[in-house]
Amino acid sequence: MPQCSSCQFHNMPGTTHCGRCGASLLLATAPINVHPPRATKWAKTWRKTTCWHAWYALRRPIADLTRRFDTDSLNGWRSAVTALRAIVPGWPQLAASKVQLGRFLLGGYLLCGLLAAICYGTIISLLFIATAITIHSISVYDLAQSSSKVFVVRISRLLLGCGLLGMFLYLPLFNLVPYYAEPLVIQVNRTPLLAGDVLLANRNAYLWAPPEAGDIVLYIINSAQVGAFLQGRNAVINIAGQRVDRILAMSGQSVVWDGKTLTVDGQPSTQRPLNPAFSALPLSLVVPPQHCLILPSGEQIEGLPPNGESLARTLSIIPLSNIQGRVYWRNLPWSRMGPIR
Amino acid sequence: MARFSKLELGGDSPRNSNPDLRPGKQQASSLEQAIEQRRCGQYENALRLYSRALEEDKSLVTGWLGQVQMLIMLDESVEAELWSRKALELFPGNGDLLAGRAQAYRRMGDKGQALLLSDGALKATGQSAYRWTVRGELMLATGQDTHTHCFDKAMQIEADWLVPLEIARIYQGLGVPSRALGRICRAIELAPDRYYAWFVRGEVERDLGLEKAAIKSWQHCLELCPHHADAERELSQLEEGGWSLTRVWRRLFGNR
Repeated sequence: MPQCSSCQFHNMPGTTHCGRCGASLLLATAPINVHPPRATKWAKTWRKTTCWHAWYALRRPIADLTRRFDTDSLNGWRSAVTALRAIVPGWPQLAASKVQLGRFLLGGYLLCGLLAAICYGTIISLLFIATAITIHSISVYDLAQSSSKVFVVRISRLLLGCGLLGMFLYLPLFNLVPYYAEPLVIQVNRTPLLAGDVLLANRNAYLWAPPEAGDIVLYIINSAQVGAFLQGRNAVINIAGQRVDRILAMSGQSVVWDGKTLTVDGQPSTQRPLNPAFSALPLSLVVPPQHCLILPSGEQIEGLPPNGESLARTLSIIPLSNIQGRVYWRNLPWSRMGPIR
Repeated sequence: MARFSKLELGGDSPRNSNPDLRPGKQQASSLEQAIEQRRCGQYENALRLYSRALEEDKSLVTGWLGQVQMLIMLDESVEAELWSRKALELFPGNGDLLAGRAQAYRRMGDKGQALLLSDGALKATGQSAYRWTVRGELMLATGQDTHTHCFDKAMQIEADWLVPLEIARIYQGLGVPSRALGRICRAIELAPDRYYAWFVRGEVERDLGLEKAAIKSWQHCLELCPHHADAERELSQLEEGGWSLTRVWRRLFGNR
């Protein structure tokens, strides 16, 4: 008669479990790991040095609170959590142990996003963004496919998921990103900017704080008509439109520009126009209120009249309302990618 | 037919016929060694030997319980709780394992769960000193005076010297060395030749500020076990240690 090793009860021959305590009678040869888990040295030190007992004691009340949810609400909660995971492409798949698909979707999405960011401002960027959105849709499609066996339900969930993502994720994203990183494609060579360069400008930069001397800004130059002698002929040059350059002085400051050095309030200034080779248009003035001084260093005009101080004033004194944003980054070409200084 | 000459076709081989080398004998030996190591205060070795005994026979409740107890003694109560849970799956309702789990929970700070498990352990079939020792520890930790009764009950059930020693360690761990001294003295009365009891007595006396008595106890421990590393270390620290405000305080007020 086999005797239970736990409670010493004598069981009937042929029984596999103890009739009194339920312990297995075939335990002696069962394939069970008998080596207990051990605490690491770090864990033991941590337990000794910190009051982890208090944290451990909190676990039980939290578990009790969790148990208060009935099964339905738990299922609903799980469904909601699963649906929320669709925000990140590949996350629902990773959570559902579809590791390869999840990694592929997440990796593809991140790669496309990175390439779109690198090529931002070009048509190729749009292609990468479209690919990334497609990958996201595939993730939602897979989630919808596994959520129900009814075709109509699957399709409706797919459309609902894509619609919600578009409305609450991509639509705000596509509206917000250009506001903080508007791509500016340079059309004309204006040293140091070359045609084809893509700059990023922040239109919100001066929403709360006024611009400061030294900022490189996107602004609208004061329009002016200049009589000049170009290629052996008299010509009228119309100066107008958006420019990118550095603010050299703010309102109320007296400025002296002798063509090479800048003096602000009698002190030599370290600020220089964006084009370091700029040397024309000497002037001396006090910047009026609500204006700032920006020398049009990118203008390459030959044959300007020698006494052009009035023209210099017109082109250099810019109303603050004409400043449209701050330019902070050159995205293309990749060889010169980086912050603009 | 030399190629078949080494086939074993029934009957005991000479190796198996040797009674000293049979698996049952070996497992008993591992278990005995584990218990002996535990009595020497070598809990790491004891844990290893308990595991070795269980490798041979997984139905040894003593082995599973010993592992849990050793993990607790090694300050690995989280692992002890996990392991006791696993052991309870194999031996449902075993009182000693329930007590082990209760002790693990107590060391983790969950006294409510520990009390529930201790209740279950005392209700379970049979009785053992360990269940009452754990109960006493719980009572002491929750500030109830019944701990003395529980520890006395444990010592009544089992007259082994290890019971008062482990009670003394519990008192020591919970910051009541004055009560620990009485228990460890009882253990030494029962087994004056066990050096580990003398070592623990030295620790308790040191905690009480009785440095001279502690030195004597550790010296006695070293007489019984000349190469006891822990006793040597404690002695050297106490005798050659530098100036300490705690030590000055104990010298001024502790020996009175």
